[in-house]
Parts: sequence; structure tokens; C-alpha cells
Amino acid sequence: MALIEPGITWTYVVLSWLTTTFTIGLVGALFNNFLRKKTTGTLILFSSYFIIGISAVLGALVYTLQAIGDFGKMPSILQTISTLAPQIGLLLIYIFACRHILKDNEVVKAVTLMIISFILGFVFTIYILAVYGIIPQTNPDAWFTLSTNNPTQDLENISISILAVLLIAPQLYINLRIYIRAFILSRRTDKEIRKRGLLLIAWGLVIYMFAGFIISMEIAIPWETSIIPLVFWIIRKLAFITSYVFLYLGWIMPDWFRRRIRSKTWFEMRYKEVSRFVQ
Amino acid sequence: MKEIDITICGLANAGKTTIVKYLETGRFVETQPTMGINRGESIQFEKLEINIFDLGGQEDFQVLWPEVNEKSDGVVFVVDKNDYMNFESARDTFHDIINTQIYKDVVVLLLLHKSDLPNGMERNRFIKEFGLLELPYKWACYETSAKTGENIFEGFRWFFDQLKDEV
Repeated sequence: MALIEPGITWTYVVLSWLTTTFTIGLVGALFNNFLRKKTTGTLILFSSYFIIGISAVLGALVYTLQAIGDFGKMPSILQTISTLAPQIGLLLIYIFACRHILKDNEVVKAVTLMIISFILGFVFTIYILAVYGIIPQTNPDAWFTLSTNNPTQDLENISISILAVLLIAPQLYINLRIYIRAFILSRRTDKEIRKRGLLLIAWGLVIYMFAGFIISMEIAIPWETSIIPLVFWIIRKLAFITSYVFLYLGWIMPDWFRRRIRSKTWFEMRYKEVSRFVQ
Repeated sequence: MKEIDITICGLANAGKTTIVKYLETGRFVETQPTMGINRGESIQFEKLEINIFDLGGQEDFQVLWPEVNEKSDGVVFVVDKNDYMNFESARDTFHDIINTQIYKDVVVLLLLHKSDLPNGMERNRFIKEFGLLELPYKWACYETSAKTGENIFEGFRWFFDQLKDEV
């Protein structure tokens, strides 16, 4: 955020609202799916996308506030929520995956959720405290800071990279497991539609993790110019949206999509032949 | 596109799932006994999609039938034409469906299945003894085989054409 120059702030604003609109559209589609089916699974999936949607709105709002003027700590607070909220969505995705793809028993599920919740709780606390200590120049009482490129000697320096690793580890653990399982199941099934659905989930997760990798690069590398981070930011946003779409199609398999990808049954082909002959 | 549901019912081992598989693939496929309810591949026409629900025939699963049949627009009842031992049971089960689980405008298709095997019951005798002549439904009966493919297309063509007309 510190690298954003005033000239391109509005580019971020416009693009972030565009991607947010698309994300909200997906949230709406999942809500519609939940209303139609009214099952626990569809509610869990909708909830996870809803959290992602909120995160997208807050993220876009942060850029907008920064472009308009000085709003004090508000952008930092919103940015923190926007960054952390999708992590809660991960817990929901895990619960949803346990119902359909993963075969974790209740004990494994409870322990996994407990450990991840503990990690997230720790990281959230540090982030929230950091909102009030991140700019030591304006906050003499700050006792630590989150910093990558500009460590402050006067303060205890909690590296954002360590927190990033703590956030990435559960993401990798869960998403890689779902990816591997979806891929294995896709090879085992003889139903073409199920196979394609599972492959969409697997590839959706690969793209999702690729987007996560880009975030790491954005954070880790001290860029000298604003353009390169913008390019990375656009690629990351596109990758996230593509992964959300893939995962939506794979998990939900909406009727219009199912119709499009299915191959014709023997009966349909025969019926078509016979009808043509009769005419 | 309008969607309707049909169910495939019948006693255990009558050949319901092999018929569903035949509709999908056009060939005989070995199957396992259906546990509960299987959703088969849908059949799509220009403006109509037909969802097929293949109901497990074992007695334990028959309690699940009413809920599915009540929402169904068409019922296919499969009888193993060589299984004389269970003929009465099949007839009672069929009439239970007809009398308590479906509405009057539902289309009914009866398949006298496994016609590739010798010594099976004759179609005319089956119609009479199964009590089909008094049936207040739009119905038809075909002798079928998933091994040879006999009448499977013809039977379902009649059935789906009736459903298309109803819609």
C-alpha cells in the first residue's frame, strides 16, 4: 500500500470495484443455489463465498478511501479485515470439503479445525494490534510493528513474512489436500460430468494457490516502481476470480453448465437419428 | 428448459440399473445392487430435461420410494419375466405404487425384462395377470433386454413422447 502513487490510485479503485462486482455476482449465484436447495452444504459454501465477497468490498473501499482523502486509521482497519476475512472462509471450505471430497473422521476434523483456528487467532491478534502500531512516527506508544522493507530499530519488529507463512501454511495444507483428493477421485470416476467437476475443483485450487504465491512476491520483494506491483496485483485478482469461478462450477455444477459439458446419451443420439429419419 | 422427474422401480435384481446404463451407453453394463436411490444421467430434449431416479429394489429401500414417486411425472416398473417365484410380490408392489404413491396423470411404463432368457412369461399373459387391463393410467408394456437391447429404445421412446405431450 505504501508504494501506491496518487496517479495510479484511481486505477486500483476502478479495477478493484470491477473485480468486486464480479465476486458479488458469484456470491449471489451461490445464495440463489442455497435458496433452491436449502441444504447445509450449500449454506456452508455460500457462507465462505460471502466472507470472500465482504473481503472484496472492504478491499475496494480501502482503495477508494485512499483515493478520496485522509481517513486516518480507517483504511488500515478495513485493510486488516479484508486481508484476514478470507482465512475464515478457508475453515468453511474445509468443512464443506469434508462432506464431499475429504474423508477425515470427526477427530481429525476437530483437531484440524482447532489448530487452524488457533493459528488464525494468533495472527489476527497480531494484525489487529498492528493497526495501532504500524506507523511508529505517529504513534509513540507503539511497541511493535509489522514491517517488510523498512524495519524500525526502536521497536520490536514482528516480520510480516512470519505472519504470512502462518497464514499460508493452513491454506496450503487444506487446499493441497483437496487438490490431491479431487485429482485422484477424478481419475477413478467413470462419470464424465463428475470427472470434469472434480478437475475444475483441482485446477481452481492450483490457480488459487498461484494467486497466493503472487501475494507472497508482492509482499516479499521491495519494488522500486509502482507499475510492477500493479501488474502483479491485476494478475493476482484475475487469478483469484478465475479460481472462484472454477471452484463455483466444480462444487455446484449449475444446471446450465452441466447441460453444456455433458456428452449425449445413447438414447438421445438414437432419438435424434430416428426423428430425422421420420421427418 | 423444463425439468421433470421419472422413477425406475421394481423388485431387487429385476434389471433396473442395467436399463438406466443402457439408456446412457447403448450397451450392457454389469452393475452392483443399488443402495438407496441413484440419480442416472438425464435425458435432454429440445425444451425438456428428464431426470431419472433409479430406486433400489431391496425391501429396506422401498420405504424411500413414496417420497420420490409422489414428485414423479412418470414411473417405469421393471419385472424380471423369468422370476415366477416373485411374480405376486412384484404385482403387489406395483399396485401399491399405483394406488398410493402416484397421481392419475402419471405415465406408466412396464418393462417385462430379461427377454433374452428362455421360458419367461408371455407378454399377453403378463398384462392379464398383472392386472394392467383395468389400469386407469396411460400405460404401455414392452418386453425388453439390456443384453440384446431389444425394445429398450422403443419402450422409452413411447414413454418420453407421452411425457413430452403431457408437458
